[in-house]
Amino acid sequence: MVLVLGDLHIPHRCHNLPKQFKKLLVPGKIQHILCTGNLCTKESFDYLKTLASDVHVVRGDFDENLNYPEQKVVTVGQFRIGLCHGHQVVPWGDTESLAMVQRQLDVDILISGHTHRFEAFEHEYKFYINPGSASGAYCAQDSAVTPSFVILDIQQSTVVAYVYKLIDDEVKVERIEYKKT
Amino acid sequence: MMMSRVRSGSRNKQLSKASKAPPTKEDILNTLDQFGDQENGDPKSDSAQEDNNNLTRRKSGEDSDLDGWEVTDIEQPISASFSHSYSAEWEKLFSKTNYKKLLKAYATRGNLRGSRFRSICWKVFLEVLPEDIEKWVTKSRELRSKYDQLKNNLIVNPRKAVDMSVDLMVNNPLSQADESPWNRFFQDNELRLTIKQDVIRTFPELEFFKSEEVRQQMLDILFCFCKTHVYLSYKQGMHELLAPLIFILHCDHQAFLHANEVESLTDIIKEIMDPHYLEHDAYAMLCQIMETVEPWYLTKEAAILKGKEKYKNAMPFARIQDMNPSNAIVSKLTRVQDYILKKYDIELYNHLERLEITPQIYGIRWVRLLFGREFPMQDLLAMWDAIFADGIGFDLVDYIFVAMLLYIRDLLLASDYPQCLNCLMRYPPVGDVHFLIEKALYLREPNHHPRPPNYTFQTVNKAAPTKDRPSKASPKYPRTKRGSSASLSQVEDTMFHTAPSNESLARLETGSQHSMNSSYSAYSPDDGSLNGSVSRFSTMPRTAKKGKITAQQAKEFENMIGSLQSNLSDKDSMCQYCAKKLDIHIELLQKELLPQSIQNEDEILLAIAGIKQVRDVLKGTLKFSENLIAEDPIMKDHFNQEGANSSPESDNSGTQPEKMTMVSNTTSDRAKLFYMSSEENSEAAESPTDGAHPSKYQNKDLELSDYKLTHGGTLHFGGSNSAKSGGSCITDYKSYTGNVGHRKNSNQKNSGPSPNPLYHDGSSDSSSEEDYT
Repeated sequence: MVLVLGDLHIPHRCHNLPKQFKKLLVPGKIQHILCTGNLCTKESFDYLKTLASDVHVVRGDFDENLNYPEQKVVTVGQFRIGLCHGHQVVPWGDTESLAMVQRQLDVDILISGHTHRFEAFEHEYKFYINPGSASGAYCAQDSAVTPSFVILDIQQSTVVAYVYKLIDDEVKVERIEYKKT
Repeated sequence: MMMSRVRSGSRNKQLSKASKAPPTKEDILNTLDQFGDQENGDPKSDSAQEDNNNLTRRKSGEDSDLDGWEVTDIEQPISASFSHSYSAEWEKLFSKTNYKKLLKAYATRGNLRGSRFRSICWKVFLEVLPEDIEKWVTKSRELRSKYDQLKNNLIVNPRKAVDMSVDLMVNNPLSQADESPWNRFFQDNELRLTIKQDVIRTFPELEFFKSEEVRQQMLDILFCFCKTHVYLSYKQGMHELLAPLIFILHCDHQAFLHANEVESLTDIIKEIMDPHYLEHDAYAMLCQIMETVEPWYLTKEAAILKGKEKYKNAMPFARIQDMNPSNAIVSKLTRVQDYILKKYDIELYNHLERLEITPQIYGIRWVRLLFGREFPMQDLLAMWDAIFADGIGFDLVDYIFVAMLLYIRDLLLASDYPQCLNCLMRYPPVGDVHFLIEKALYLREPNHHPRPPNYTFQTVNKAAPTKDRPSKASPKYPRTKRGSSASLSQVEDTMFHTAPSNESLARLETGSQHSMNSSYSAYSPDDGSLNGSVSRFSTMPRTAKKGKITAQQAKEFENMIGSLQSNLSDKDSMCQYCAKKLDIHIELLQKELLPQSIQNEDEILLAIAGIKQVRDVLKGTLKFSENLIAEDPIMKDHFNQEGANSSPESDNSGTQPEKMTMVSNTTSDRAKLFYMSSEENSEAAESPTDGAHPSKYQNKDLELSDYKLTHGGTLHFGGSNSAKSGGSCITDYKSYTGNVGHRKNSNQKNSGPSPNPLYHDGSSDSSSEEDYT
């Protein structure tokens, strides 16, 4: 089980994660956490540490901790997963630009953030995930952001992504499957 | 059927026919063995000939309900037959009409060790398979399909169980709804992890349990069991119960596969032994075992809830195990220790009580695992043979528990708290497990089972206890005693079989006297130190009731006891008479002697004191101290010689309490005893200080041992009231006084007034008189 989330912006833009999310996120189920950055404070990082011991973070444009790497590649099962916040990739959230990063890193799955909008799609047989903002913090382009994060269930050559969104104070779940070819 | 009939022919024929299939190496070896047997004229060869009318004999054995008969009956045929052909062994084991009963006897005797059908025997014992063979196939099919179902239902895989119909709101990894497969999956995973932790540590010394496949099977079985027994869930120890089951199933399956290649087997064997269903069968067996063992694993949470109540109920001075009776295992163990152990070995019981070693400290593991950690695998299997065969209730466990304690009793008695615990937690290796089984059977039903020989751990390994022994206590004594204890049973048995002679009677008496004294000296103030008394205890005879008693023999014994008792009372009255006579004469002597002033007055007084002592012994008010024998090498030899004559002493457990009361009653006696022993000690201690007079010292030393010999000897015979006639007592006594006088004379010649306190004692008549009488 891999938890993918990012752009928390706590405490600058949001005071906390939505309580519905907090209720869902319990230790014991998740083995790895991949965070796209913009945790901002150490407290947020510590919170993630309570959920799983293996936490990977890349640096966002608002992170206090400057020691996080810009990009990171994590291997889970058969998958190479690239992690990048995405503010460096212009235009932000652009598929072609992200594909360049994907090729640079040579990964099967590229995870990026910064746009605060959930996205998950296949492009040229590679899988792209943007978990959105887990806290629902506003961003430069959009002030009404739906809080969301992603759980990846990786089994052999299959990834099942469960997307959790908070819509009207209710958690909605989507399921997306990706097979490595 | 073919095979079994062939078998009833003579052995050689049987072999040539039985192995129509090319003879395996095993077969050849077996025949070689059998030839050896016949040449030796073993009883086995006799039975081989009797095999001819096997069938009729067995029939009659079934009709008459004599247990012993039947057991010996089945014994030979099976052991003679098995290991030849697979199906023949099957026939032998399971084809009789009341095979179950015979099988149980067979298993209890440890004969399943080499069997290739142990797993099936266990299944029968555990009632996994019904008694009726015809139903075996259907029953096992039923059980197996049940397990398949269980496994399907219980082991959820949320990834496979993906059908879009299930609401994603529920069917997602983070869902905490009860009905979510993911939620169940995660909860199960926790359970699986705990189980797995234990499973990978199962019998690390066996390669078999390291294979991933076996581990997965164990994991699945335990998991299914836990899911079906939610209130119990998984408790550490279950894996250790499961492991031998899997092991034995696997072994039997291997044998089956091999046999299947060699010979054609019936369908029923093929079906029952199908290796594919190892997991299923193991599960069924585990369930049956757990059915019985379950209460031992349950710990009632209620105990915690009513914690306050407990304080109210707590009795002052109550033991811990009494205060918390809610726990089944604890109350069971307490019962075992309080009733069974106390009954058979009060000494050990007291020792454990004194050290406050409660049975649950070590016993929970023993019982919960059915002794799984205490013995190596092969021995454990033999142990389980007996436990399972004994009945589904596993009653034998309690008695094996006690038998195990008794086995290491000497070790325990000689140890302090940490050593005891160490010994109990790491049970010392047992030479022959079967001894424990026999012992357990005997403990439970002394009348139906022969008394096993009295092995203790000591006889196996002497090194451990000797180092514990304090050097102060006579170092050699316990060991010689122990040596004799090994031969106890032998002597005892011969005693039971021969008619009661005077000599055996004498032995009986010395024995009782001896045991009395050992208990006595344990109370005497001169060994106040704990260790000293412990060593004394350890030399005390076994208090368990013994006897190879069958119904017929019991009557014989009763008669014997009757005659012995009348004999005894005769001797008693004779002793009383002698004592009275002595009394009168002593009075006379004293009257005459006191007014006179003789040169060596003290010698005479000492002699008189000696006579008084003998009189007291005759009266039975004074017991001779064990110290006398213990410190006297010649006396010790005497004891050894007499055969472990001490053997009968073990029979006198019955008289023990009575003696105890005597001890408490006669405090004055104890004082005397104390004096006696202290006199000896002082003498022994004093003699080396006489270095100034080497010649005298040597002389005295010599005399001393001489003195001790006669002194101890007298007392010994005196102690054995009826052992020798009163006359011999008196002559002995005379030689004793004579010797003492002689010694004193020589002392005086050599060194005038000696520093020996004894001398002073002698010179002041009043004090010596008081002390000796």
